Amino acid sequence: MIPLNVAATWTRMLSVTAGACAAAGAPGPGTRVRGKAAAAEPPSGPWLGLIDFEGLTRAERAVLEPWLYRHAEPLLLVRQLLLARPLGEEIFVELTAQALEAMPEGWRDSPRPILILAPAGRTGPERRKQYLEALSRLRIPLVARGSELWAIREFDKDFLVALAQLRDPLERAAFRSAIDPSQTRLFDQQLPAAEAALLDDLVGARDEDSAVALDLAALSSLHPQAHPLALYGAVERAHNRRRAESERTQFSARTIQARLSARAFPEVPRDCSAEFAERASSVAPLLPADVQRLFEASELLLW
Amino acid sequence: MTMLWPQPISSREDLVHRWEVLLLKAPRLRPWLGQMLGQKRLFLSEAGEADIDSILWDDLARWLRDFEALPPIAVAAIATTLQEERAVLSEPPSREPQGEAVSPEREVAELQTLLCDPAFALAFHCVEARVRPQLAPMIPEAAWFGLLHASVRQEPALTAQTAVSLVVRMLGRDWARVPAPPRQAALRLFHAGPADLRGDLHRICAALPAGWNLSPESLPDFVAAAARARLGLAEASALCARFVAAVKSRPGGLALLTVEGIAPASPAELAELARNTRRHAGMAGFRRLLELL
Repeated sequence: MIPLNVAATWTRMLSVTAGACAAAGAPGPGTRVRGKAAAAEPPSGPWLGLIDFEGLTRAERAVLEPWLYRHAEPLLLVRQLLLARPLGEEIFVELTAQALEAMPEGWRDSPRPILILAPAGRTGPERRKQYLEALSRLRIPLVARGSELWAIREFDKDFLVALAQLRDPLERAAFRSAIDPSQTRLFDQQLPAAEAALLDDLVGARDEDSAVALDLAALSSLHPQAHPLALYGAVERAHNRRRAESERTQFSARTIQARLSARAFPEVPRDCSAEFAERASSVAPLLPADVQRLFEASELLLW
Repeated sequence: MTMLWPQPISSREDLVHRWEVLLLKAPRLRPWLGQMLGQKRLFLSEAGEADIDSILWDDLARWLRDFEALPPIAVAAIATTLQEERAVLSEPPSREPQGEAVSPEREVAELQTLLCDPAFALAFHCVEARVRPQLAPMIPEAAWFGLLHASVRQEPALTAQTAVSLVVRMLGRDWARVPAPPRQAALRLFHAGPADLRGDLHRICAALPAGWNLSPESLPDFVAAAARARLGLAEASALCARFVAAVKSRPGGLALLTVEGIAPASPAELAELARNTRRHAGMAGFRRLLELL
């Protein structure tokens, strides 16, 4: 077991149940796009989840693995995320026994959206490149549509480990006895709420309003057949063009791919056409900068 | 418990029958399903959807397909999750579903629970000191707070910015109850710069939340006020980090807010905190914070 910082964990728990996110990044199967969960539109069954344990200590893995297999995996499955075995130094896709039992018939025979769950702050450019290269090398139907269906969400590793550890009754009792006695009842109430919030965050079900989410919804209206992850890749790149280097994100595999091949940056984007502006403005009231950004995202969606 | 199915049932009797069979096997699904249907109906109603029942039937069909395809192990998991989620539903929610009715008493209790922690008491002070003074009275404060929260990039870690953003979220809870279309139009305008205010601005003005009464002529003032509010939020995060640097010991969440290489809060900033703390002396988090400074 790992010694928990009780006060820090308790604060984090309160913050997550109050709305702070424990995972963020690209949309997950639970992220709502235009009012519907991403996994539902178009309906494609569960997404494949690859949780990255690379860089975790032996003790952290020892806490997380049993929690994942015995407790969290089915709960993620009902949130439309089917897990493969955790990634280590080597990246490969090997479904767990539960996933094999649970997957819908024929699920493995078609391309599926792939969500890589990576510890926040530990996923540098080199690791992102490894994800991309490893998935690109695979010759299995699950990855056949390529990087437009692959993306990353980052999670708070310490919080995940803490909650996994608190599933153990002895650990829970010890933690409970270490907090302010006036807050023990609150702890009893907050713990299941925190766990549900964490699982929801892993699949994006608690994602809230943001500038990126707005553009994702608008682009989805313009391209209703495109997958939310493909749309997100285009929106992320269009936003990155307007961000300072330190603010740029690389959650979509298409963004990582474009960055590695120096595509989509820093070329000068075309000006929005009048026809597109008219079409985009029929979707929602937009300002000129929004129309131009959506135009660029729409163009990026095509390549 | 009787399930309030969408209407008309007559055309979907087979679907209802399959659901009833499933609910017999997993009875804990029933309250969850009722809750989901209620929330979704409210959300769709607020979003102005015309054919709500038809959408709900589609959802029911999709959920049923998913549940029927699940192996026994997952059904067992559902029972566990729902047992826990029932507890969640009776407590401060972990998110703010659109349209959820929350009593003012509960909102105050939730904010006070959060502010028991010195880290969030500090964040609250920073919002009071740097953000609130920047909020122009042209729109409700809750709207400013909601828009500010939506402008912050979400990070899966507790940082000074996260703590400030969370307090802003709590102060802007009413904003989540505004229907999605006007909320989205407002967010687009909130992020606009002066150069964006061209073309047909009547349309975006008409799409803004009811009661705002912004005209194309007043948009430059709004955009300028939004820029000041965003700056105030950035200053609040920076101030929070400086206070953490000034704290002698950093128990609990304060340890998580630490930023290396930040200059500590100035004497004037510490005095400002002391004044604010006297106003909120009843809050446990402020008392603990003062003890640490």
